[in-house]
Amino acid sequence: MNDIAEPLGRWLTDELDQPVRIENLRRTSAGYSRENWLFDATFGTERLALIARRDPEGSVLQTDRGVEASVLQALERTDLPVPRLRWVDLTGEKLGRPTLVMDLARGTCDSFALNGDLPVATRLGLAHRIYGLLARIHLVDWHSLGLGEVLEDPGPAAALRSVDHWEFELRRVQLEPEPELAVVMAWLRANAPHSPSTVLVHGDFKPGNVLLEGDEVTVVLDWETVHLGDPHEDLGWVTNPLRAGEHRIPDVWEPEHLLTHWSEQTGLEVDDRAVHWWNVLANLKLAVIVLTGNHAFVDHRLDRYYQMPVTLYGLLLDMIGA
Amino acid sequence: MRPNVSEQLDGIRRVLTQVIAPHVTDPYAASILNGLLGALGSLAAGWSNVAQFLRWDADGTATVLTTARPYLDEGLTAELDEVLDHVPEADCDVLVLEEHHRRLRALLERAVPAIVEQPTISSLLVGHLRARIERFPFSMVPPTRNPQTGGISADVAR
Repeated sequence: MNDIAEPLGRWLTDELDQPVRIENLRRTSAGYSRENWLFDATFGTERLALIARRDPEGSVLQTDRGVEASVLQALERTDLPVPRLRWVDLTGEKLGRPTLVMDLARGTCDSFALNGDLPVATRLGLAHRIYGLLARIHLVDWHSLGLGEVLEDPGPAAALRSVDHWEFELRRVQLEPEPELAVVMAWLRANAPHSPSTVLVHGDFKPGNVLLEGDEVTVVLDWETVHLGDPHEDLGWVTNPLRAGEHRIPDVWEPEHLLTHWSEQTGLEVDDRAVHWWNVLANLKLAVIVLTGNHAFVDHRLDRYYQMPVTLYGLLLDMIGA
Repeated sequence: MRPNVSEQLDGIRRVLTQVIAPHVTDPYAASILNGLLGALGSLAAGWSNVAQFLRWDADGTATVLTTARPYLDEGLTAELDEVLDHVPEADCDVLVLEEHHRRLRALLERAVPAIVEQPTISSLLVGHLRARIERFPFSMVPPTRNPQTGGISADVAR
């Protein structure tokens, strides 16, 4: 399992131009789309706590490490709290598969922090800070950061482009016909909204993708699905009724509170119809992610196994009013 | 045939849970084992309904496609005729039934764009898909609060 220890040591020795010792190397159980290896690198009198995020043999997502690295490097020039990228291997020559090595950020990860044991007022403050970061991501001046050269701007047709993308992914991974998803995609195509503006979209924003120290957010993680698109895409993701346990605090932080807060922070208007459309897209995306995982499981490239997402299909039919 | 399939699956799950799992201390391996135990439980509970489900779903799918036939293109109706001319016998192998079922679902997937344009047939289709969700023999366990958050965290990692 720790077969990456030696090549990792050689890689960092090359990068730092001095002998590096790798210690405490272990793979975490977190992260379904990347292998996350935590370790300490010791050289001279220094000791760095690092994480290597390596592409797995099989995953629930196919994304591009080069894009992720470029965005992280660009965002280091902003005041957004992002992981500090140390070294990048895009070809896999160092560890067999593409890998990013980053500083291990301070804090703890709790997907259900908003519904934990803290007092409601504390959790509400936390919600404001977490989703305030989403607004700040959407306000990033991606033009001036040069991200227009790395990411494609889908323009007003972002919604339809997203359906195209996820239909392509579905065709690539489906093990059997999925008429339910064909019904959903027909609805999505017939009702696609126009994007009012193009912003930097995180793609998987959630409390489980930030680290907390006390009730402060230290870093926003998992930028592997970052892209340019409609801000309603992230809004649809974080108001998805299926993920209510992660994103909502009953009565005090419901979708309407979240959307009002976001609108105040960004100065942008919320189109409720577009948010609903992106709610549907979010669950189509989740269904395709499950099917991607099952495809990799059958191919012996993924250790995790999921049942068919038929419950999700029922929710999708409800959401499109079928 | 004892232990029967349910007893075998149940016994394997029990041994993995009681004998193996306590000794799996690596967080990643423990997490994977936990997921597989859940899958084994679902398999033990649902396997005996699979053949009946496939037959029911294939029949319902065929009904939707036959009703939609006037609105389908010639190629699709020809393939539908061919599939319906070779409905497996009642005592067929489950793999034969699975292939018949897959072919009908593939035709249905292709027919959806035409069907959703016809409100009456679209209702028939959605009604069948909803009934299918209710009868599906295996269940997906939804995400729940995980006390072992693990993750990219110095605090948890130490």
